Amino acid sequence: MLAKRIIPVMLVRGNLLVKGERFAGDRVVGAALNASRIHASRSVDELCILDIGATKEGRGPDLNMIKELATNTFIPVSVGGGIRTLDQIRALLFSGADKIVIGHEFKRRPEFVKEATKKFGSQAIIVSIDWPRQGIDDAKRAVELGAGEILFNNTERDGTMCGLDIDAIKSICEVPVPVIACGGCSSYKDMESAFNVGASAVGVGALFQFDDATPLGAAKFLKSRGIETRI
Amino acid sequence: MINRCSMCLYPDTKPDLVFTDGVCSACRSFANRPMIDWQSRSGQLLELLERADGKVLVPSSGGKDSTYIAIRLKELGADVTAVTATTCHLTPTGRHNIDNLAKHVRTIEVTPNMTVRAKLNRLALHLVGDISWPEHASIFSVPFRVAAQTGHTLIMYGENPQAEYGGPVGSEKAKEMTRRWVSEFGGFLGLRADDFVGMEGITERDMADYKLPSADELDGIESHFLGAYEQWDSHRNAQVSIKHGMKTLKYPPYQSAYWTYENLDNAQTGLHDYFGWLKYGYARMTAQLSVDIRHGLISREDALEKLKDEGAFPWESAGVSLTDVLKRINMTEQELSECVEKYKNKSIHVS
Repeated sequence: MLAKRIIPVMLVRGNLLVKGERFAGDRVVGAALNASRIHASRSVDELCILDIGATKEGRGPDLNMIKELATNTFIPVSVGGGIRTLDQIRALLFSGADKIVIGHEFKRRPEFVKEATKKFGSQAIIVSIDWPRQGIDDAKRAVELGAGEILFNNTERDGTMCGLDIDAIKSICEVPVPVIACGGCSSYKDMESAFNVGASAVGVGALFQFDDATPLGAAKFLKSRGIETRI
Repeated sequence: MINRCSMCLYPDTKPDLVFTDGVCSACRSFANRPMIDWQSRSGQLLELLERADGKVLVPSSGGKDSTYIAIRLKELGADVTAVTATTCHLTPTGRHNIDNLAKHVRTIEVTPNMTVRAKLNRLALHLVGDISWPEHASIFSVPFRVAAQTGHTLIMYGENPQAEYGGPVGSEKAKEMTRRWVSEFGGFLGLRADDFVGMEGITERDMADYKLPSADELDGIESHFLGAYEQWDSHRNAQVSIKHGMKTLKYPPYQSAYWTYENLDNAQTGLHDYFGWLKYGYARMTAQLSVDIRHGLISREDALEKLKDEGAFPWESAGVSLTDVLKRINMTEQELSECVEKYKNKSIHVS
């Protein structure tokens, strides 16, 4: 069995690290570079950086920021937020991103995912599914179009640390590609439950920012439960 | 580009600050003070003390706020024990003020292994651009550990920082400092004590000094903000503390500070604040002047004028030279300037 992944999810705006709740009200909680450096020092498997200002402000991703964040870490980085063109993807990959997260543009123009995976390969493209507005049918469609991975984003639980919606995650995990379960993670136990219903990774935001939990602590706990992680 | 609160000087880059119609949450919380029934709050404070059999632990550096809290609670009849977590680089003024506390109340001073501390200072500066990470961790962990060991059930901290300096909606109302509060607002920047284990020979035992006791050990221990029970006023605190023997400086401890009686006890604070300026475009002067604007001590225009010195490099802090500060943590000037470059927020500082 493939080792499971624990992925810190960083929401950024400019060079600042922000945290929202239920996808609204972004609160500045620190400097983005700080957070990426902490995660790099923890040798996490992967880091997910989502520029939440990009789509809202009608701009593309901030390449300089991504370059700065990605060059300061030696871990794989996936980047999302405001991505609408193949040129933007190319520029991001050259700036140090390893994978690209497509969200809004998949809703607007699903075939963009096909164009992107044809050009850069499925392994480079993650499609974000905003639960509950989107569901399993959308996830399946994204996979048909070539998405190599699904980021399950529970917008109602985002930033709340009230627990992952295990039933919803289970339903999304029907897709034949890896699923990153994200939104509401409240404990190591929560991660275990998500892995047990088929998630291949858990995305963690607030828990690592506001609680004593660390990726290493998670890895130790999961190991004691018979779940291998890459940390 | 920084946008500032239309009433005080707080910038929109300040972590945890929320703006509504151009006014920051700190100003809103201050404006809301007259709506609070302070008489009933002071009754609640007496109830708290009574519930703890009058025994209270006051985390204290000997500075203006904690000296005031110790004196104030003693006046209210409490049996006060002041507990000091030694700062990262104690200054002569800081030493004097800790000793001064012992002239008024019982004191306990806890000094962790300072060789480990120096490593943590250097590592934290590299990792998160915050030399003071271990100090911030220990001002929470030490009092809670001491309370668990000495059987104290009440700890009294100072102001609720979210009420005085702004925080997410609702956080300004907190009276009690919970475990979750410490993790969220303790200034750890997402970095946890366990993250240091294994670096430069640092062990789990070394880091225990920087962790809160377990939930079981904390059972029955309450920690509150005095600022939730009586109106907080830094200047009043300073006057009361000076009257009781606290020493201050004749000038601010470093160029980017404005008050002469804050941050006198740790020679690293100038550097700490300078990194805040690099990351968020503001430092201590903004915070202190903003308090003075709210209290009507200075106009916003005059205060804004003074801010031009805020980015000054901290060659000296509370009478201690930067060379001494760096020597103690085994860091070269070259290493420091690399950190400065690394943490300079390019969207705020052009050059």
